[in-house]
Amino acid sequence: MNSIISIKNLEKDYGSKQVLKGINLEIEPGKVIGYIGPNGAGKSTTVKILTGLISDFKGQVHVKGIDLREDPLAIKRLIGYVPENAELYDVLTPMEYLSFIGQLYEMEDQLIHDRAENMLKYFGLLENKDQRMDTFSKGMKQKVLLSSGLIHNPEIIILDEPLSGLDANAVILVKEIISLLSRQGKTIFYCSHMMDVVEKVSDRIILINGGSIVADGTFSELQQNHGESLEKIFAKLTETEQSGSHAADFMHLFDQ
Amino acid sequence: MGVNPVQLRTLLHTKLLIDKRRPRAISNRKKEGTSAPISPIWQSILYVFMGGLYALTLTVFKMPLSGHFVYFTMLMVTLVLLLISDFTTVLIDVRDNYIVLPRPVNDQTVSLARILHIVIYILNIVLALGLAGLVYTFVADGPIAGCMFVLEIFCATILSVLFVNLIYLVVLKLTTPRQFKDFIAYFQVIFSVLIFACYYLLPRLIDMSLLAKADLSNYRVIWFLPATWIAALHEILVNPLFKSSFLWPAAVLAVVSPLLSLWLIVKVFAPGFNQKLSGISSSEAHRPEQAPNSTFSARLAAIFTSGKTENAAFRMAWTLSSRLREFKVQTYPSFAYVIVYFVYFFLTVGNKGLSLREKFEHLGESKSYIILIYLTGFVLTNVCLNMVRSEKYKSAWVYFVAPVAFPGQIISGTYKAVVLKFFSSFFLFISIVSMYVWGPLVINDLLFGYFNVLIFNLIANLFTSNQLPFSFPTAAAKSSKRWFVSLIMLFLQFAIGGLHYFLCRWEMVIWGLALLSAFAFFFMIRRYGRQQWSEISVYEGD
Repeated sequence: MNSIISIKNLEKDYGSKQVLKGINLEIEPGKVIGYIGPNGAGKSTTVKILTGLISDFKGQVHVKGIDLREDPLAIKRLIGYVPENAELYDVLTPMEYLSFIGQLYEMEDQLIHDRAENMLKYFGLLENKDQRMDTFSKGMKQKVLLSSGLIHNPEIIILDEPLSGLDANAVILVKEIISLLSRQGKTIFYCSHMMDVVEKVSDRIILINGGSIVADGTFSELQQNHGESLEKIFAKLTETEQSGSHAADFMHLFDQ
Repeated sequence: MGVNPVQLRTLLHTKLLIDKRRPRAISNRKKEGTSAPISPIWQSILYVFMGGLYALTLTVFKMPLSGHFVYFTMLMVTLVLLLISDFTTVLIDVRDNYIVLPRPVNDQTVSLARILHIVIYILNIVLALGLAGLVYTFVADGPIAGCMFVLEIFCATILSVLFVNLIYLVVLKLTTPRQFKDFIAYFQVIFSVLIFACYYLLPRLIDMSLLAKADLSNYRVIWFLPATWIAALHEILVNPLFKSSFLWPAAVLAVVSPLLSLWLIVKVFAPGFNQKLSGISSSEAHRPEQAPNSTFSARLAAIFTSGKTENAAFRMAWTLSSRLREFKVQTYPSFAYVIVYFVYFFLTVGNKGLSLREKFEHLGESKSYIILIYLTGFVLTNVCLNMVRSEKYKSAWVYFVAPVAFPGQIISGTYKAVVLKFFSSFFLFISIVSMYVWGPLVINDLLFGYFNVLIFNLIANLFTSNQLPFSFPTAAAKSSKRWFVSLIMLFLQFAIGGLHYFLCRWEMVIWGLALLSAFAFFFMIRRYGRQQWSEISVYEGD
């Protein structure tokens, strides 16, 4: 099967610090990819390259056979991105913000309006659609961001900690949406620290550490090779297994 | 009292440290290119300098009561303005509640730390502002008058604080939390304009010889003002020959009213007042406000933009520029500055030896409207420099992930929005005034000037690194290249203004040139919208 995302020898450095050290990835369409790793592992950098936020990198990135360097706009049209931090112009209303995003994707006004209203309705924000978002909680803003990432009906959805700030009901809703989108054939690139969620929603898990991929496979494959739970696999492969002894050392601080 | 001195010291120290690092209203923002705001020492020196200027009134006015009345009026107005525009943000900041309240710190310690913080803040300003007046009074009127001056300053401070309390009380009753913050922002705008206007215009408007003879005590209405009461206190001590039936009652009021004010502040306003103020921030999170409909901007966008990206940028810039408080605080004063500059020019250049009235009578015969036209370029430059800045600059990531072929479309859409909303509407106002004063024949000059200002501003924008709207932090250093080019363009603009002045006797030539300028502008705005990603400068601070 042809890969929808193909990454070859992807490298990126910030001055003397090499953040990505030759990442190679072939991602099949319609799969949910759990992309995990400790802080500073290179997850966000990979995502930023894929979404066009970082343009100077080494290696090759193809999405649906399109070279990212040659036609970034065509790739941007295929991707919907939801960033980790709810950074949006919150003096706008959800409808104004979604209308702005929809227009940037050159959607028709009526389609933007209808789709935005429906999305806000599903997220329980219809009543707030004409209210300025500076009065919203983090979870409400995150729901607007999710809507903005999906409004143009992208083929590939990149979610960077999409559950951040959401309440339990919204988490269930988003997990459900992820599996429904995947069943519709969308490819989902899911970055998170929440191992239990990644374990449940992902068809394939990629673990990155120090700018390199250290594990890649289905959860059961990873289990066979490395351990019982994803949390333990993560701890083992990112060399944080000694966290128990670190915690004990920390507790000794109170002996003084 | 139940106050924990160690905790009190820590709280106060931290509050003062944070205060030290906060940008002030009087300096408007952090020093460009640095991470630190204007140092408190320089701030105090500035206040001492201002106080020195105010103290000049004590020497200029020779008639009884007048000098001290003007001095204390200026001192009290400054104090009120500073307290509202600068210190309110500290009062309504509830972040320390989240840090302190979960800790084992009792209410008495928290309250005392808050009160001491306010007292230290006010003392800092009052001492700096009053220093020059105090020194002058000591030297000119003797040490007893000097000591009395300290009491007078104290009375003026208490009355100012009461006045601020009254303003807060009324505004809090009439406005929503967001409107209250807007009110503070507009107060900051008024304050900066007032300082600017006083600096430029007062020395030109005041006739020193007349001031020396001015006897304000003849005006009965001034006896109702607190500044007069304080001045009366001084007169009783240093000028026993001065007689007025109002003098003693006013002096008694000077002493009684601060005591009454203090009682009012402590007993009536203080309970619940701080809570109400600090509640502004917390309640804002729970009180959603309906945003006004934006169909007007959508209609304008449909007329003036081409393509969805430009249309989207136009509408967003139109809406954001109405709602981003810091944008308003930075740009709105420039409108007033143009008027102040024009009045300054009118007062200082030409018609030497004429009185103010005569100068005004001759205004219609002059060609001063040319100056007014080209001064509007200052508004446009200022708006363009600020339209790329916002506290919400991180939200600009959307431009980079969206499939935007020409980011120039975003910039040109934003530019069209701010030109229409700020520059064109202001220019329309200037045009109406000009046609009223100089007659309808100036319409060709107005058109020629309008497009010239736009062209030079656009050239400045095209030559400098182009930035996407609201994508740079407010405190980021302005690009020195952008400043330099903007400055050169402003000079060139005034040079063209000079040429315009020379040519304006030939009406048809101006009509022809206006047409040419319009064509040139429309050609350039198309180029503006074709900018590539490689031409765009991106904030890389964090």
